[in-house]
Amino acid sequence: MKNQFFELKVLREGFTTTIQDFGFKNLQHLGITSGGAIDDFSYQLGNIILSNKITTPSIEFTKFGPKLLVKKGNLKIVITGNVDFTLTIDNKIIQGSVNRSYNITEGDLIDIRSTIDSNYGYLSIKNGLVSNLFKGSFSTLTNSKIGNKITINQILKGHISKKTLNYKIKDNFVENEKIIRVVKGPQMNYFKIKDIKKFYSNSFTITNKINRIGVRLTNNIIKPFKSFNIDSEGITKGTIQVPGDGNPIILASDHPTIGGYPKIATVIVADYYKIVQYPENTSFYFKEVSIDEAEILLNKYNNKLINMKKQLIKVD
Amino acid sequence: MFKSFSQISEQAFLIDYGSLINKETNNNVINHFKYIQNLNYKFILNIVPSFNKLLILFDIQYKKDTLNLINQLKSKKINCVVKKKKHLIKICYDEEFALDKNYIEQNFNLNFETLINIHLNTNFHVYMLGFLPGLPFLGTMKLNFSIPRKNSPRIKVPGSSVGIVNNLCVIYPFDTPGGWNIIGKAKVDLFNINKTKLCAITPGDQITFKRVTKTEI
Repeated sequence: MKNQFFELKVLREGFTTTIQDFGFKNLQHLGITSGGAIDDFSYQLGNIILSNKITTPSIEFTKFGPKLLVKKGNLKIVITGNVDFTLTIDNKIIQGSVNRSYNITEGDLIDIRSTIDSNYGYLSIKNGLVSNLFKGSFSTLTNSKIGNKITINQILKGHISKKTLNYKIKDNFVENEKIIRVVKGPQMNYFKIKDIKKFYSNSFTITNKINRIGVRLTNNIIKPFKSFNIDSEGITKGTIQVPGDGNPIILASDHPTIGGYPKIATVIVADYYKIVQYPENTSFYFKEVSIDEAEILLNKYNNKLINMKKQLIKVD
Repeated sequence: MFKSFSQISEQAFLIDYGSLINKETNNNVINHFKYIQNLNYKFILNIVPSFNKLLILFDIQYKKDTLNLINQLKSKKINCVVKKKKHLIKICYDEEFALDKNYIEQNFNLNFETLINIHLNTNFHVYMLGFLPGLPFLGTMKLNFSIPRKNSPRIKVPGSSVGIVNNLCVIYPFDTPGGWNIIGKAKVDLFNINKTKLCAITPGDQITFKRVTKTEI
């Protein structure tokens, strides 16, 4: 029965390459954060194009991606995000297109060179990978020692898939919006009105300190006037906390479960996947919306993903 | 009972139990935490207790149900039978583990043995777990002065190290960067992904320390 599995050998591991899905639920009270695919839009899109179950685990790569050799079996893949990659199919090298499926087989190569003007990309595979399930998720959460980063010479396995028609998203899109919408944070009253105004009217710049735990901002110092510390409390993804130096940090998917810095605002769910993709040196503005508006925008965001199914067209 | 609550994002409510940080306030938080946990509602994605707050993350399609639940907490007298497990944890205060012994003695004009006695005589309450998996926040020691967090965090605090800041105490589950003042090493398995019960200690538990020699650690 061995031939039911494909095997992918890791020839190059890339900068930070992990297996991700939607992450963990109901573990935050134990100190285990939610984690999961950081750009949940691109992650879900890959599974939509492959008609996978939406929770199928994918490979998330950061900046410089992995190089993978098909050792055995047929598989069907999609790469999402804004990514420069090549495929070697039947000894012919082709420049790959994102948001499009490909059939590959024994001897073929996937070479994910890098993301373009963004930080993360996804390699989704028809029927997913065979990996360890922990408390309902396949996600790697390195700071909780759950799972491991993908490393060189590792063999990734999954169920083979038949060679079938390929699909792509009709119109390719690149997110260019440089406005990130937020709702008021629980400690906004720790900041002076003039500083809150400054928070919205001046632009911020993304530093080189970006990872799955947090995104550090600079270029617009906002200092809390009350206190630099609060009694530690539960925190959520997208929250913007402000430490003593006045340079805000956006909590990303692998954020600590509790935090003791004042929180000025929270990035809305519908814009979270955009801000985590901003590369170093990107300048952008925050804009405040009400909770009601944020709820409407979240529903729109979910509908946008559902509508992607209707955008699929056949290729070849 | 709680003081107030607010919706802090599309999918989160934060309940406030008052500004006093003490066992009584925290017991109210833990009481509600256990109550919601026992209901086992699918639409509750996370419930995070802390000193005086309870964070509730919910599925946005169930906002009404979540609000109903919070109103229930407000109006109904809830008294969850909270099982308070007692733990006796072995600790060694030898200098090779008490990485900040000299720093504490020099900067706070304090004899380390005096601090050890205070630490050993405290019946600690587990306020919450967090920051890292299984890391307990314990309180409160009877100290009449403050020992703040270290100015620059240590790059690597060894796993099982016991740290203090002011009258609070933590135990680190594994090697990690950290800013607490290290006074010893405990013998305890705080987080084990191979066990059904991932974390040995839960919020509301009681902890006392027992001094042992290096060989017992």
